[in-house]
Formats: sequence, C-alpha cells, structure tokens
Amino acid sequence: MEQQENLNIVLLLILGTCGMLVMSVFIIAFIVNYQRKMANQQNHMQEMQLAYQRELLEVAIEIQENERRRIAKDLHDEIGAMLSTMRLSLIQVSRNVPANSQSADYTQQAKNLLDETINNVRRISKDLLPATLDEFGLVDALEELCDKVRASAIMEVDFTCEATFRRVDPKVELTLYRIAQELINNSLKHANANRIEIALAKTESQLVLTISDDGDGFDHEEVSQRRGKGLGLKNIESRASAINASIQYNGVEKKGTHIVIEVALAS
Amino acid sequence: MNNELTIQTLLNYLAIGCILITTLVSLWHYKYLSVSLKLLSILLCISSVITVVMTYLSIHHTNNLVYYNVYTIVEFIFLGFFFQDLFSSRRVKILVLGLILVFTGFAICNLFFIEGISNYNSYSLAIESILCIGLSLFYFLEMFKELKIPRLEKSPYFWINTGILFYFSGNLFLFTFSHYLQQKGGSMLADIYIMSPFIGIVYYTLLTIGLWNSRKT
Repeated sequence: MEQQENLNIVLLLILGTCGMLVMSVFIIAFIVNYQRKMANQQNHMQEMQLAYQRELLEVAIEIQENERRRIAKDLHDEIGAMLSTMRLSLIQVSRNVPANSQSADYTQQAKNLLDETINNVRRISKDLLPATLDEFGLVDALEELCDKVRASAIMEVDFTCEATFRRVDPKVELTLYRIAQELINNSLKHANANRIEIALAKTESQLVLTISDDGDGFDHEEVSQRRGKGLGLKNIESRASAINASIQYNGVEKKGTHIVIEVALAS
Repeated sequence: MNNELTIQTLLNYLAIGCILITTLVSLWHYKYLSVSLKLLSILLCISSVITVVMTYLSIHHTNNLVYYNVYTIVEFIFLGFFFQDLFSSRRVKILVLGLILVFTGFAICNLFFIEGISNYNSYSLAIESILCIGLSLFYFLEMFKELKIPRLEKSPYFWINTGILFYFSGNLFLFTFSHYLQQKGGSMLADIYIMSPFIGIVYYTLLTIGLWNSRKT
C-alpha cells in the first residue's frame, strides 16, 4: 500500500517534470517562431518600400516623358509652324528684292539662319519625342539614332540586331532608347572614342542591349561618388531600375567601355 | 530526513532572498515603470512582507496559512490588473476584470465556508494557477499576433510573462494535490514541497530580469 502511494508520488513528480520540460520547449518554440515572424514581416515591409519607391520612380519618369512630349509637340506645332510661315514670307520678300543688291544678301543671310533654326527646332523636337520609336519600335529608333551620329561624322557607329525582332512593352522600349541615347552622348562627350558598337539581342525571356566604345573607359563607381557628377549615370540607373533591368559596367580604364543592360520580358 | 529538511530550509531562505532582491530591483526602477509593472512592484512589496511574517510564524511553529490564503486572493487581484493593462482589446480587459471579480468572490467563499481559513486553500490556489496560466498563454498569443516587440530578450513583459507561466504551471500540480498530501502527511509532503522554493527561485529570477530590462524601455 505504502509502496503504491510512493509510486503515485514518483509518477506525479515525473509528470510535473515532464510538464516543465514541455513548457520550456513551448517557450523556446515561441521565441524561435516569433523571431522568424518578425524577420518575415521586416522583409515584407522592405519589399513594400522598394515597390513604392519603384512606383514613385516610374511616375517621375512618366511625368518627365509627358513633359518632353508636350514641349516637343509645342515646338513642332507652334514654333515650327511659325518658323515655316516666316520662311515662306521671307521667300516672298526675296522675290521682290533687287538681285545682287545688299538687301538681297541680307535676305539670303536671314533665310539661311531661318533654315538653320528650323532644322534645330526639328532636331530638338525629335530628340525630345522620338516619333520613330512610337511608330516603328526600338530597332528602327536605334537605327535612326545611329544614322544621326554617323551623319555628324564625329565617329563610326555600328548597330547590330537580330533579324526577327518583335516589339516589346513600350515602356521597356522607351527606357532602353533613352539609356542608349544617354550612353552615346556620354561616349561623344567624354570618351574620346573613334567607334561605338550597339547590339540588341532578344531571347524568349530577356532583352539585352550592349553598348561598347574604344575610348578612354571609366570607373563607374568613382564617377557616381563624385559630388555633382555622374548624374547621367544615375539617370540611367534610375530608368533601368524602374523596369527591373540590370546594368553591368565592364569597361577598363584607357581601354574602352562595355556596358550591358539586361531586362526580363514578361511571358 | 534531516538532510532533506536542511536542503529545504536552505532553498526556502534562498527563495526569500530572491523575493527581497526582486522587490528591491522593482523599487529601484519604480519611477521608470509602466502602470502594469508598478502594480507588480506593489505586489512584490506585499509578497516580501507576507513572506517575512510567514517565515517568522513558521519558525515559532504558529499556523501561518491565514496569511497565505489571503495573499493568494491579493496576488490574483494584482496579477489580474497587471494582465488587464497589457491587453489591448477592450473586450479582453472586461473579461479579465470579470475573472478578477469571480475569483475573488469564490476565494472568499472558499476561505470562510469551504476549506476554511486555517487550512490550505488548494482549490483557490489551483484555480488561481489555471487562470494565471491561461492569461499568460493568451498574452503570449497576443505578442505573437501583434509583433510589437522588436527584441524579445529586451522586453520586461516577455520575461515576467514567462516567469508567471513557469511558476503557476510548476506549482499547479503541487497546489492540486497538496490537500491530498496534507492528509497523508509524513515525508511525502516534504518531498514534494522541496520543489516549491526551487520554482519560486526561478520565478523571481525571471521577474528580476524583466524588471531590470524595464528601465531600458
């Protein structure tokens, strides 16, 4: 009887100990799961913040493009039209001015200046709003851009693209066009290059734009960190991040620049 | 037997020391404490006084269970209001208030009419333990859902809540069967009750850690 009672007591003790062990395990499990949940929540918050920042960036770029579009339209429709009308009036005037007179010389000078202004307005308007990009796509727009650079005879430009190239998301096309525009301008202004090569390749899931030159090259991190400098690069990186594109700078100083932009395509 | 008693006495004095240390820490940080922690601090002061009185009476072989039974009611009232301040939901606060009122009513009835004022009120102790375990687990659940605390190890409420869960869980089966063991008497009761001060030491240590961290919050 006494033995049975002692056994009961021991069993109770064992139960109590097991209970405390279970509780300890519960506390440890609680801590681990709590920390895990906190970490997940923080990751989620960070993702939301990144998504929000990306959205803000997209809006800022859209506003910028809309403004460019408006200015280009005003330049073409209003300024361009007025300049063309002025040109017609000047042609009328030149018909009534005696030939080989000083007035005829001045009229001809005015007409030449006016022609130059009309061409500049047209060029600025096209740079602001690449109509070819909207109507015919990225490949044709890049070809037109390369033709313009070749026409200036500053350097050689070589553009290669896959033969079969269907159009992609207009936002992606516009971003890649602007990046190409900026990089070509950088090559022209800073690289002392003789030749630029632009290549556009497309796979099922990716679009790859490669721009290389044989100029001086640069250290992109050093340029980005310089105060007041590297705004063009920052602009490129902002535009690229808005479409989730990656940029690789593979240039070596004094041996040219090689930049690769990769963007995933929606399936 | 004598050795066991000596060990038990040692553990009892160690537990008393822990209570006093915890009380001192709470008073030292009193001006930095939130409302709920101030309630806990007051409870610790009461606990210290009751423990000293009971120890004195025990040494002089006088029945001290009256004080312990009354303290049980006071303890739950303070812990109840402590938890009530922690919970954010108004419904839960009202529920906790209801529990405090119901338990107090039952415990007073038990004290005077059921188990008696000079006997171990194991029913009150058992119910108090169950309610405190429930409140503690509920608060753990609320902590897990709301994720308001960035670092658990720096939160006083985590440590105190763990201490409460540990203490009342550990003592629940002691309280439940103490009435039965008291009737059986002999060394069985002493064997079991050697655990009680040990659980108290762990409890007050966790409370001390929690109160120590309360200053940083």
